[in-house]
Amino acid sequence: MALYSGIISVIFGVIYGECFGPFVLPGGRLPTEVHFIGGLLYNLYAFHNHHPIFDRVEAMGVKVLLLATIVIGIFKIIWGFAIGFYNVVREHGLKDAILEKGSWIVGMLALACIIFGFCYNVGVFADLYEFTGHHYGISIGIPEHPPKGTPPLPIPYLVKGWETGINTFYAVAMPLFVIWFILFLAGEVPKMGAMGAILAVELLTWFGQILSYARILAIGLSSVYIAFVINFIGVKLIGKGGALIAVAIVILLLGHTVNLILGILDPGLQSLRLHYVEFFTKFFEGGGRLFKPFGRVKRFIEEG
Amino acid sequence: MAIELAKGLIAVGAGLAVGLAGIGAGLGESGIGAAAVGATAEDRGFFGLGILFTVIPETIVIFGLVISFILMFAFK
Repeated sequence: MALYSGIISVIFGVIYGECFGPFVLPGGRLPTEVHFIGGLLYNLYAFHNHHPIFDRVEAMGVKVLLLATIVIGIFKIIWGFAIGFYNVVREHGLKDAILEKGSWIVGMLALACIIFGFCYNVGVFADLYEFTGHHYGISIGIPEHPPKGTPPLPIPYLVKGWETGINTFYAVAMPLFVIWFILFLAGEVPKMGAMGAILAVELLTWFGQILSYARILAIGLSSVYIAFVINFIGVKLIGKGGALIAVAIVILLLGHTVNLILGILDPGLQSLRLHYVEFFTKFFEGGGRLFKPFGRVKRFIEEG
Repeated sequence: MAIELAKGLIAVGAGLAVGLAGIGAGLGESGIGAAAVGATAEDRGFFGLGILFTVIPETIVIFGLVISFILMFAFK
């Protein structure tokens, strides 16, 4: 397991251009100033002041990665609901499945449209376009760049200039919300009575769970910044010279060891949690009893 | 001048969003962590599940982080 994680780490390290911290830094600072392996690895790998394949330290990379992690979240939660849909079809039939899980799939699609509309108005797609030089996916009639002065969240008659802020994504989301609400009421009201309508608030929970996938970005970035800070302290101390060089080496060794241990523990736990809390709750139903293998219990002999 | 001040206030707001959310999540995790250690003392098999329960309130910090990103990017 740790071996596979290590292979993935190496691949993403090459993609992000990081080895014990970032090589290329925003603001035109050279890696020799802040990286303890200095110019050696930089000249070997970082293509002479060109960015690595993807630079996640600067603001644009953070934006694009935030969108990427949220897309992973939307995909994963809809996947979970799809598995739940299949389970309910097997147990109760297609009609119940559409009312119980299908309504949430439609609701999730509506939420995804709201999130994409927000990202478009904030300008994430424009960044994506600048980053790659390609027109991405928005060939449904809206340009990459939103018009000037667009409010991120156009609530009619409450936000100034809301007419400019309505884009195709928001326009698609509204009928999806209506479909979701009708399906949801058709599913819940016969079971729970009129009070079942209150359960519609649960859609906000799924919104929070989509945002929860942003932790993939957050944990990665935090360990990059810890490494950056440790390198910075170390290089500054080495620059002072004298006995401080020994202190710097101790700080570098200790800091990077702590960061490595944190890097094993925390991303593992958080991704495990993403599976247990966000993914499994959509379809998994516990219960049953522990499997007891059929056979004699060996009490007096040991197996060799 | 006013724009500089606004930028500074946005940065302060972003920092407060992460920091206060961190305090809240820490308060939540303290109770869960203590209970998880107690349960592990009773039953060693609970260790993995206990660690998993301990990280559950960390969603709140992620919300704070997302809010700070939105502050930094959407209102610059």
